[in-house]
Amino acid sequence: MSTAIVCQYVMAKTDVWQGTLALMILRTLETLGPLHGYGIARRIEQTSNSELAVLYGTIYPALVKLEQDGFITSEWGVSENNRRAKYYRLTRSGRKRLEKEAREWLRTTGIVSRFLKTEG
Amino acid sequence: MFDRVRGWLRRASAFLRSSQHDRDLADELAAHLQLHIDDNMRLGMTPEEARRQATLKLGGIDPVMERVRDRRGLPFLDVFGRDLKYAIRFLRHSPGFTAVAILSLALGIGANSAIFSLVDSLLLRSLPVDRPDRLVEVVAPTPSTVRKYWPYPVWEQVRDRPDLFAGTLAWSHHPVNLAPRGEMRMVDAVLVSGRFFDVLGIHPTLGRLLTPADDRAGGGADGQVVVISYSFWQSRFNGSGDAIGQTLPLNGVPFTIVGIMPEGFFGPSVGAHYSLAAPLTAQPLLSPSNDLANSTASWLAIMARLKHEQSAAAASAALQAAQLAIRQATLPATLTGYLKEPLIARSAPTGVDSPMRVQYQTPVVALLAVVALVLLIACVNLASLFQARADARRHELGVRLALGASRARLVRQLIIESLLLSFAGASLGLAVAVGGSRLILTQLIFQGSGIFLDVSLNRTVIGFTTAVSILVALLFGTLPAIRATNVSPRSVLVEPSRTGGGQIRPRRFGMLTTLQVALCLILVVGAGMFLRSFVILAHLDPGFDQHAVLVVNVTAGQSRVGLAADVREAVLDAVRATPGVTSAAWSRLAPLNHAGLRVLIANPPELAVSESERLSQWNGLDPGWLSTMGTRLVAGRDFDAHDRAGTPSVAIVNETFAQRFFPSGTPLGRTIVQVPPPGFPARPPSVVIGVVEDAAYESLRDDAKPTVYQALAQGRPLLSVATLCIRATNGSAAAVIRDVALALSNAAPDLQFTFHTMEDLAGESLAVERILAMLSGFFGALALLVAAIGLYGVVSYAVNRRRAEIGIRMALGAQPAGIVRMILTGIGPSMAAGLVAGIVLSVWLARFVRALLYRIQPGDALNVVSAAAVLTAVGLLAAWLPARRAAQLDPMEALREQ
Repeated sequence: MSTAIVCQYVMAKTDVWQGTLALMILRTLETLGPLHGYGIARRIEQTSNSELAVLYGTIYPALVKLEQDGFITSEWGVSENNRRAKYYRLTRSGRKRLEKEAREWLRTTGIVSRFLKTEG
Repeated sequence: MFDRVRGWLRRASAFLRSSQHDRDLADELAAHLQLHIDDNMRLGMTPEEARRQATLKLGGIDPVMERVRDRRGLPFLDVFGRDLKYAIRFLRHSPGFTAVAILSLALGIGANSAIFSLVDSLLLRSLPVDRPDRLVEVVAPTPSTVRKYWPYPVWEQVRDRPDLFAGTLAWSHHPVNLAPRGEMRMVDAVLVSGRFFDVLGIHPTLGRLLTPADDRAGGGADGQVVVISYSFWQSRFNGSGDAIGQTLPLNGVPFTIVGIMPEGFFGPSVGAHYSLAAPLTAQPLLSPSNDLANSTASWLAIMARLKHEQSAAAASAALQAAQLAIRQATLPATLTGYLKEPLIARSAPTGVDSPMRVQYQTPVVALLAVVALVLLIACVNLASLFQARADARRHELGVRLALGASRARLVRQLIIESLLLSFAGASLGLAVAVGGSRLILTQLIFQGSGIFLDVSLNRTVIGFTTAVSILVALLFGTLPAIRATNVSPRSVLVEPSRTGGGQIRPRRFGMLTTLQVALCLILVVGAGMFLRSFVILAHLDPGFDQHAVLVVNVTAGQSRVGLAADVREAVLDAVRATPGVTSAAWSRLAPLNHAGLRVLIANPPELAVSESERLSQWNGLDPGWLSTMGTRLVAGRDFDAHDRAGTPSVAIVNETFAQRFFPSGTPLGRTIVQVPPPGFPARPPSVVIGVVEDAAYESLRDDAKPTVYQALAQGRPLLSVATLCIRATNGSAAAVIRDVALALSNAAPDLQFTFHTMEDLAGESLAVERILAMLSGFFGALALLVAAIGLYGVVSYAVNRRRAEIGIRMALGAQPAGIVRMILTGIGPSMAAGLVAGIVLSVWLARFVRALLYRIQPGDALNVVSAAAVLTAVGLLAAWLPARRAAQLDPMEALREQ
C-alpha cells in the first residue's frame, strides 16, 4: 500500500492529517515567506523527500481554513516567471500559532519516540 | 473561543458570498495548474502531457472546489439549502399534489384559528386582572334559573361584612349619553363600587382610579368623578394627559375625569367594552329613579376575591351563614319568598357570563366542532395524498438508493418536503384566519350594539394550531415516506416502474375513504340543518311588514320633563309632515328592539291557566300604530281618539291571547284583569275591542305568545322612553332618517333619539342563525370539495396502478362501461360504510345543537337523506372522472409500457 493512499485515508477520516498539513503550511510560509499554493505543495513534497505523495489539491481546503482562522492572509501577485498567482503570507497570530503547535508537536513526538524506544 | 466565533462568522459570510469565492478559487486553481504546467514543460513534457500530469497531481479541479466549498461554508446550511432547492423543485413538478396539500392545510388551520380565537376571547381567556382564579361571583340558584343580579341594599350587606372575603366589588352596566341634545351618543359605562379596581388589582395608566371615598352619595372630595378606558382616551383625547381634570356630560350631568384605565381592561364581563366607569352612588344622577334604597330592583352583579386558601365552597358556606341576617336587613315589605335561595360564591376567573357569552356560547362551540371536522377531513386528505405519493415514489427512492444516496439523506429530504408543505399551509392558513375572524365578527356585531371582542390572533392560538398541523403533516407525510425508503434498491430496479414496486395497500385507502365520507356527511347534514333553520326563520311572517319601517327610540333626555302627551303630539305632527313619511305612531316598545314588558293576566272565571302561561307580553300603542307596522286586525277595531284617560279601559289582544284566555266564543267585549306586581295598586279591568294577528315580539325565533296591547293615552301620561314607528313612502326607511331627525330636533330640542330600521333589527335578531347557516354551509361545501378531491386522487391513483390489468381486461374484450363499473364498485363499499357511519354520527351529534335549530328535528329524515344523496353524487362524480379515463385507455399502449 502506497503512502499516498494512506495519507488520503487519514485525511478523509481524521483531523490529525489536517492538523499536520496546517502545521507544514505554516512552517513553509515561515521559512520561505509569501508563497502561492502550488509552491507550498511542491515544498512540502520536496521536504518530505517525496515520502508524502500528496495530491496538491488537498492543501487548498487547509489554506481556506487557515485563512478563515486568521493565521494567514492572501493576495494576488505575480510569480517569478510572470504568472499571476495568489500568494499566502503568515500573520502575527499565525506565527504564534506555529510556535505553539510546533512545540506541542515536538513534545508529542518526543514522548511517542521515547515510548517506542523503551518498548523496543 | 473568540477565534472559533470569528471563524464561524467568516464562514457564514463566505456562505453568503459563495459565488464570488468560487470564482476566486477557480482562478487560483487555474493559476496553480499553469505554474505546474510551466514546470512540467521545463522538464521536457509535451504541453498535453504537462497539463494531464498537472491535473492528475492536483486531483481534478471539481473535487478540489467541492472540498473547499465544504470547508469554507457552513456545510449543514449548504446541504440544507440543496435539499430545500430539491424539495421546491419536486413540489413544483407536482403542482396538483402541492396545491391540494397546501390548501387543505391552510383551510384547516385557518378555519380553526379563526373560530378558536373567537372561542378563546369569548370563553377561555381569563380576565386581565390580578389572580383571576381567586375571583368568585355571588349567585343564587333558583328552581328555574340562576339569580345573578342583586338590589343595592343586599350589596351593602355583603360589602359591610369584610370577614366574608378578602375583598368584594359590585358593578352594573349602565349606558350613558354624551351628547348634550339631539341624536344620542351612547357609550357603554359601568357603575362600580369604591373598591372595584382595588379588589381586581387594576392600576391606572394615568391619574387615579376610583376609591371608596368617591363612592359616596353626592360624590367625594373631587365631586362627581369618572375614569375612562384606554381606547376611549385614545379616540376622544388622542391619548393626551390633558384629559385628566376635564369634564364629561353623562346624561347631561358633568363628571370630572380623574384617571385612565389600563390598556386591555374591558371590565369584568366578556363581550362588553366599557368606555367609562363611575361610582355606584352616581346611579340616581344618571337614571330617572333612585335605586340605592330599593330592595326590589336587582341591578348589581356582585363579585368577591377569595381569602388566602379559602375555597369557593367555604366562601359559600360563610355567605349562607350570614344569609338570614342579610335577608332580614334588606327584606322589602311586599316580597315573601325574598332571598330564600342559598347564596353561592361561584368561581369566575374568566369573568361573569355576559348576555353576549350566553347568546354565542353554543353557536361558537358548534362552529368549533365544525372547523375541527374540516381539519380532520384535511388531515385525511393529506394522509391519502402522502400515502399515494410515497407508494408512487418507491421507484424513484429505490433508484436514488441504488445510486448511492444514504437512507438518512433521503429521509431528510422527505422531511424537508413535508415541512415545506406544512409551513406554506400554515402561513396561508394564518392569513385565512386573520381575515376569517374579522369577517365573522363583523357578521356577529351590529353597529351600536356595544359588543367588543378582542379577536386579534394571539400567540397561543397560532402556536397551538400551527404546531398541531405541522405535527400532522409530518406524521402523515413522513411516516409513509420513511416506510417507502425501506426498499431494496435491487428489487425496485428489477420491477417495472409502472407498478412501482411493493404491494399496493388498497385497505389503507379504503379506510381513509370511509373516514372522509363519514366526516364529510356530518358536516353536510349539519350545514343542511342550519341552512334550513335559517331559511324557515327568514321567511317567517313576523306579523308585521318590516320593510320601510323606521324605529326611533326617544328618551326625555336631561330635560327631565318626560315625554308628556302634548310633547308626543307635537313631535308626531312634525314627523307626519316630513316628506317621505307615510304614517307614524308612538308606542311604548318596538318589536325586536331588545326590550320587552310582561304583565300577569288574572284567570278568567271559567279557566284555570297556570301562572307562567298567563304571563302576557305587553305594549302600549297610539291609534294607527298597527297599520303603520302592517299588523293585520283580525276582528274588532283599532284604538281611536276616544280611547283616552277617563273613558273605559280597552285592550287589543293577539290571536294566541284570544285562544288561551277565551277558547270559546269571541273575545270581543270580554274583560281582562291584570294582576299588579306586589306593592303596586290594582289596575282597572280592560275590555277587548280588537284581535290582531300574532307578531314577533322580542325575537323572531320565539313561538307566538299571548300579547296584549293597550292605548298609550290610557296609561301613564308621562313617559321617560318611548318609540316612534315610522313608515316611509318610497320603501327605504334609512332615506328619511335625516329629515326625521331634523323634524324631531325642531319640534322638541330637548329630546334624544336613536334610529334603527326595522330590517336591521330583524337582521340582527337572526344574526346567530345567519352566521351559523353561512359558515356551516361554507364549511360543508368546502368539506365536500376537499373530500371530492381526495376521492378523485385516490381513484386516479388506483387506476394508474391498475393500468396494466385494465389493459389486459380490455384486450380480452371488456367493455368501457364494464371497466367504469369495476372501478366504481371497487370504491363503493368504503363509501357506503362511510355514509352509514356518517348518518349514525350526525344524528347522534345533532342532539347537541338542538337549541340552535328552528322547526327541524335532529335526525330529520329529509335532511339526512338529501345530505347522503349530495355526498354520494359528489363522490361518484369524483370517482367517475378517473374511471372514465381508465375506460378510454388504449389497451395496446398500456401493455407496451410493461
